[in-house]
Amino acid sequence: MQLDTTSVVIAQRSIDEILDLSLVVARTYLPKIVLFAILGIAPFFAINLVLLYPITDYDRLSMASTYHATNGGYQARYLWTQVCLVYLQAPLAMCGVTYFLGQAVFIEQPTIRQVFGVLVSRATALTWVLGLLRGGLLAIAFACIIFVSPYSNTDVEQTVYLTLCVILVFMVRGFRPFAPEILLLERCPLFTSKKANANELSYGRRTSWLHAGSGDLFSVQIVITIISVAFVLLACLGILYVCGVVFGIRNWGFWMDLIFFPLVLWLMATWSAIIRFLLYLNTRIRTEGWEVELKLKAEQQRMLANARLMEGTSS
Amino acid sequence: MTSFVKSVLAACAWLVAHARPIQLGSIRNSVPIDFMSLRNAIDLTATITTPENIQFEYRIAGPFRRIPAFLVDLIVRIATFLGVFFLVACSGIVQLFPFLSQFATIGVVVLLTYFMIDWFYGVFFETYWNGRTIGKWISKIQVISVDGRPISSYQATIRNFLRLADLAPMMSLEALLANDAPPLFVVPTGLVATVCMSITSRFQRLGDLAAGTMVVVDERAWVPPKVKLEDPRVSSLADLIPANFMMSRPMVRAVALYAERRMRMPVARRMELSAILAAPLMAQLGIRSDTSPDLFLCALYYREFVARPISIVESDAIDVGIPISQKTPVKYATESNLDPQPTTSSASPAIETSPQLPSGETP
Repeated sequence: MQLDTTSVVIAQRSIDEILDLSLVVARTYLPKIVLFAILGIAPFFAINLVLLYPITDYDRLSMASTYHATNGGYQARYLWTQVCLVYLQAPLAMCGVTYFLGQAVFIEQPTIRQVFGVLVSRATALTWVLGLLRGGLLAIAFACIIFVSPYSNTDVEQTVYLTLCVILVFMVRGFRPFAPEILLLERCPLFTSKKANANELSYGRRTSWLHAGSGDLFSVQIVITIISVAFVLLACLGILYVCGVVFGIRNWGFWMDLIFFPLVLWLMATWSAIIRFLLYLNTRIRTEGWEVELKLKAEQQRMLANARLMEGTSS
Repeated sequence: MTSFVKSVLAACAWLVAHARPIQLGSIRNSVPIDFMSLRNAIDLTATITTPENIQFEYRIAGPFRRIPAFLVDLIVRIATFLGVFFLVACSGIVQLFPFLSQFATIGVVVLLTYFMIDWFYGVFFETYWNGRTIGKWISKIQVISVDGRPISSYQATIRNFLRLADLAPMMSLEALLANDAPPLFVVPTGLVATVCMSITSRFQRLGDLAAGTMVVVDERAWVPPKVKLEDPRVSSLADLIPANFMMSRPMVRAVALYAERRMRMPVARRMELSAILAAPLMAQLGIRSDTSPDLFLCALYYREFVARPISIVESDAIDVGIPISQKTPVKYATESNLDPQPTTSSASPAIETSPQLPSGETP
């Protein structure tokens, strides 16, 4: 791996430059990003579709309702639940994309098998941090409750709890967004023993160090969230327009609820993963002088290689 | 339905059977990039070569740099429109057209004003203000031709007239509000522009493609970074480095980058980073191993960028290029043009200079 030869120019950037660059990165690696995104998204998409399907029967739900909720109310509940689930599951689903991007920066071409191997080797850490602490798998458990009792009278309470969970995770991810990168690219262990090498950083310490000097990350996350919401709305409107032109269907219907809306959400999740990766590079450059480290390490490697060559020649 | 399920299952079986040979490298990139060339590394720049074979590098403004400019221009247009409306309503202009009712006169003037402002605001400003509007000026971006020349009035007209197409598709209020809302297609989604900018290498929307223009960042280019070598031992350590030791060009770049960035790092990180290169170098050059690696890299920088040019050129300074932001050529640092600034702990004045590669390359 040639450390000072990268496919993305390593430089400090502002937030608008990072957002623009994310489009270039997405365009450059489109086939591979789509491949890994589909592999990551497909299970979550299917699980959410199956588990949330019972609460899309708005007529039956409103008739069974004890507090005269309307169809629109139940539709809003379904859409919001879908948004919450995708938000919570996105880092877990995008692990493949994150790892691929990390390798692509250094002009590596990982195969599906290699990426899968890395994900399996880091499965425990990913499950613990992204699945349990950050709610990726807990979201599925929540959807299971909805699936088991879709006509429960506690639907409002369920939605409130889910929303609170999302707000909590938003705060955590706002201040410490780079957990997938630390776990997958830096491969920090969850815990380090006292006997371990003093230079080996545990996930907790590494997270604290990396995020300590980057106080504006939360505001950046808010900006990205606002932009994502705007793009979801625009994309849904665009799909409605196309459906109107092609099929004559101009209203938000069943297909929109079950297929297109979740697809747009996952599209945004994929794009957010690219932005988060570029933000991670930017944070490392700003707080740790990462580009300096790459250059110095590359020089060190060259020196050692030259020394070995000289030894070989002289002997 | 059964055949559909069968075909899906067959596709899944094929995927499983062929999972092993699929290599990501075999999938072609949508944009061919020669990764081994740093010039082609992914960035937000466009290089333009003039007929005289002179190359210019521009920073391209993407959609997220352009959105604030668009919003400012929108506010300016609305404010201008409202201003004209109140001016017309409060002035006695309606008396000039006795054959029209007061309402009709105001309506005609308002419609004309709206038309003029909406369609010709961008054309006027971009033509007479070197590709800038008020929003672009505030956002520090400007429109230029794809060949680097200033935008012409024809190009300004084309790109602004196609703005409506870029804002498409227009959604009806029906889809947004309620089924009984009037079916007026007045809500711009801007999806055409978004998709178009995302798939073109210069972030061009339809109007830009038609007019042969692009939007670039209008900022003063590279300002040489100031490097502070605050430790007085640097020069004496530089003398200990053997005279026959020559750094390779990549190593010079690495050392210059380190010297430029070190002041913004905590001391522990400085030591950690500098040791990467300094440790093997010190061992190779026979420098004592307890020497501070940070100090050693500073000494290398001093030797390469401060001491050497003086020894080579004595008193005459050499021009090594004219950064765009400066009117006068940058010269090698000499005793006279070093800019000593007092530091908190220095016994001798801190050395502050700008790194210039000996070959005249931009670091």
